[in-house]
Amino acid sequence: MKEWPLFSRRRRDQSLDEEIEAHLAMATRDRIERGEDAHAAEAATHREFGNRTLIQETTREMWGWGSLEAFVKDTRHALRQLRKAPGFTLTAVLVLALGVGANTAVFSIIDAVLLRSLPYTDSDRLLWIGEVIKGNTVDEVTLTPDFLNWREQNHAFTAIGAFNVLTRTLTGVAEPVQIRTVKASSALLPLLKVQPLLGRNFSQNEDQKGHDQVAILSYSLWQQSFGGSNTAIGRDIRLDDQVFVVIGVMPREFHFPVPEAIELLTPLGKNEAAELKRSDGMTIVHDVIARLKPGVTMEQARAEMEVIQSHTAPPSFLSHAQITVRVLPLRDRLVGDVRTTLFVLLGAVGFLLVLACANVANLLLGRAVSRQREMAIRSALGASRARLVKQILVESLVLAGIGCAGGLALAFWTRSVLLSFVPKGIPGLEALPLDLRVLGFAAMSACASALIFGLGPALTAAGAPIAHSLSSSGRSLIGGTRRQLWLNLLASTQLAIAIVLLTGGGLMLQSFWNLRYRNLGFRPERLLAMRLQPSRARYPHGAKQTAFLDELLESLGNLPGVDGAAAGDLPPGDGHATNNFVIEGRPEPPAGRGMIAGQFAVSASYFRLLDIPLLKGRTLMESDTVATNPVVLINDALARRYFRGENPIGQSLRTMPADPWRTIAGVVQDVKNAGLAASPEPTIYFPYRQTGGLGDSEWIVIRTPLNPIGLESELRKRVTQLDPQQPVGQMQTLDQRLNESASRPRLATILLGCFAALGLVLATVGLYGVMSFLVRWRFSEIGIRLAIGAQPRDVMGMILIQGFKVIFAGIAVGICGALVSNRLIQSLLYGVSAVDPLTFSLTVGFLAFVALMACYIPARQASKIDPMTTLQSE
Amino acid sequence: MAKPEGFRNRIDLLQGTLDMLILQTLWVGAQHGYGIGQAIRAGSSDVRQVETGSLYPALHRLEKQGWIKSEWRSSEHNQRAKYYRLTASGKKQLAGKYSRWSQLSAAIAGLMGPGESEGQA
Repeated sequence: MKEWPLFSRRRRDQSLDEEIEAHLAMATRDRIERGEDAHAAEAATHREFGNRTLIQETTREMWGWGSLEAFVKDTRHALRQLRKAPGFTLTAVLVLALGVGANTAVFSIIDAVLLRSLPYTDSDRLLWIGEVIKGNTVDEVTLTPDFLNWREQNHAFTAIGAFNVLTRTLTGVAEPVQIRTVKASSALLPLLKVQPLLGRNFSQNEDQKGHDQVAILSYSLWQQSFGGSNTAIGRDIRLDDQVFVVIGVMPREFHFPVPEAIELLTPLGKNEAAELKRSDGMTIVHDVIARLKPGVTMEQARAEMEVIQSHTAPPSFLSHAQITVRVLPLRDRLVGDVRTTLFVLLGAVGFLLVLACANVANLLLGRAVSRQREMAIRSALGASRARLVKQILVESLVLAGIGCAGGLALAFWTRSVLLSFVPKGIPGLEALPLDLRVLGFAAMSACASALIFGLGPALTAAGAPIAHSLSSSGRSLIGGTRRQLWLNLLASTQLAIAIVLLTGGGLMLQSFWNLRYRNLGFRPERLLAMRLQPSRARYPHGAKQTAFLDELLESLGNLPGVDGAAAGDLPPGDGHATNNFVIEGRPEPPAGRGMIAGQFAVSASYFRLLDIPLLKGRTLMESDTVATNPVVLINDALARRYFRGENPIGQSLRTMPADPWRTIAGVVQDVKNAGLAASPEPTIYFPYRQTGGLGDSEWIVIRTPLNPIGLESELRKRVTQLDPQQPVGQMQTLDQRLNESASRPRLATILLGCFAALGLVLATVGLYGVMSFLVRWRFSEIGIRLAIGAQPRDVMGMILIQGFKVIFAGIAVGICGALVSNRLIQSLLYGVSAVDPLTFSLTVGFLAFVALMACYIPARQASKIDPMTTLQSE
Repeated sequence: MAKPEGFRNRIDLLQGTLDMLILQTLWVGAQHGYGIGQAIRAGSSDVRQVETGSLYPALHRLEKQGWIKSEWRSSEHNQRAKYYRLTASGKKQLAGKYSRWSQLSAAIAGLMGPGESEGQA
């Protein structure tokens, strides 16, 4: 019996046909034999036999693959139906495409960030380890001797390595350049399971200070500076005026496990024996990475680290309780806090999809009314209810299919837009390929939505009592009050979802505004910053560097179109960096409770140029030099924390015992210098003329009324004129800098804002659709009311009251929903409460207004009905 | 909503009975669809009219279940027709159905009291 289905099917069809022919022939013959007239006999036989097509169809269903055949037929039928109603089809497909597209786009980010693994072999066995040191602030760094301890004593790891990222000046190849480099343990590359493309990795011996003058180039640096030549190996290069030998080149696809691109690696270079003595001169490492041994879990590793740590004496300035060890998967460290954001976004687009479904369900219900007759006729001809439901569901499925295709196209098309918002440094987000997982997700969400929006209308439409709808003139529509309830529910749901989305979007927007624009403490417009580190060899700290900086700032400040130049630290800060200090006349604080502050050398022009207001005392002056009394400025945060109530002006502080006491000359306003989301850190500003130069990672900054970008080459030229050997690092405007720093919340805010706006549109359209549908439904009733003397105003009031009920229910549910769901985004909010009354009242008020408008238009239409026309048309 | 409910009940009742009637008819020998219909009608003294709309789907379903088999043959009037006959499993099925049926009809007869001998097919 196993035959090729299609072939077999045709034969069976033929056979069934013949079987029935035979039946009819025999029946007719019997009748003729009984003496009936040939014609009458044939007619009677056919009548007796019944509906031949129906019988054939039901018989065919018995064969088993009737369902597949029916599905194909239904699909064709659905396509025909959809083509006949282009307006409906277009709207529904568009709405669905938006819903599915938004979901797919967000899912593709989740897929890239959370589901794909890091680009290292067995990357799920890689851990990040670091110490969290809680003093007056919280630092995430690891003491080098502790790292060395872990390395010696652990049993959990196959290998463990540390690294520090730093900017260094590369000379001896071509133009001097500043590049981002790392100092890394020799164990690091092997534990990432990466081999240099050319040459070799560091040896263990080279980890030691004094033996660390070797370097491995990144592929891109190798291409740029050595033209990709093999002769690069063994060449000398100069890093910060020290000679290093190139020993290797990394493969092109290698990406060091930090957010930024690393151009060059040198050994960690620690004096391990000295570090292990744990004297006060011990250093730190920023990141530690380890690979778990097979069979060891992260929890076991964490427990072991804690045991090792408990046996280690803390340094003199810290206590045991102040140091905790943090162990987490490397992936989590790199992806960071983006997980919550992504799931919030997924939730938002999920809501959006439900809204889209509700809208399409609306449309389908409207269509079901116009197709009531069709359904009734089909039902009368013998189609079972299940068959009709199936058919309408297939129509929904076809609709969802087209919508899904549209959604994929939308997701594909918005990919580049999305990518431009995606913050740098999340591994895997360099591209957003639409892989099978994403396609599967899109298909699944389309199918789910087909069920959601299709089932309700299908059941109501197919449930129509046949005789009822055929006999009446179509005045009485199916389902009566039940149907109306359904519609009201639909409209309320849409409104509720819109409230959830809009309040969420509103909170995110406010939070972003607070983060990016409020309380910056300075004016960022039209500032251009340039990273410039005076060469340590030629401009050592002291008179030489001071003179160089004086000359540089004067030269830049005098450029045409430049209002002035300054040097110093720039908000929002490159991370938190503080040091101890003491105040004259106060007792030495206990270990671990010392006073700490960010400490920056700045030019006298710094505060004027950045527009940082002076709160007390005087600002720094050009006349504050080595020849005069040493002074500093402090910020308000420092004054509040360490001088509670006292007047700091005139008091003195120093940072190192060897330093002179410096008088506090003034207090300036706080600047967001510890990151946009952190509260400002206590800060001390020193005039560079008295400290002899700038610290690491400080900037030269100019203000200009012109477009700052146009001045970049001018600035470079001036520096080169002054000293052709002096490299200039990265340049960026302060706005760029702030945007970059706020890029993750910005992405979330923009996306959530878009989703909220889309949600608003969908909900409004949906509400309008339901209301006008209800009005159309009650046309004849309204006609009668008007005919027997109701005023148009009464009619309008009646419809509006119906609308009010829907709106009220929607808003009540929406507020509750928003209160619950916004708690989930609490951790993403900055400077605004998740139940912010202003946001809630504004959103609800706005939505209520829009909803009322959506009701008002149909209500007005209803009041303008001409009773005669309406009643006659029935 | 009364109408569709009643309609459905009628079909359900018919289905189980019809299967048995068909199998029983085929017990005496192979027969074609028309013949089966006539036989059932005659066997119930013209009381039970088999609707073709139920008969053919039932025949094809029973064939799929493997209880009957079909082949094309010529009838006594030289009319080519599809003949159905019982298979071994169909015979077993009939025996089972018959015993269940007699239990049921005995029970019904007991309930209805003597004299009412409805449902004896």
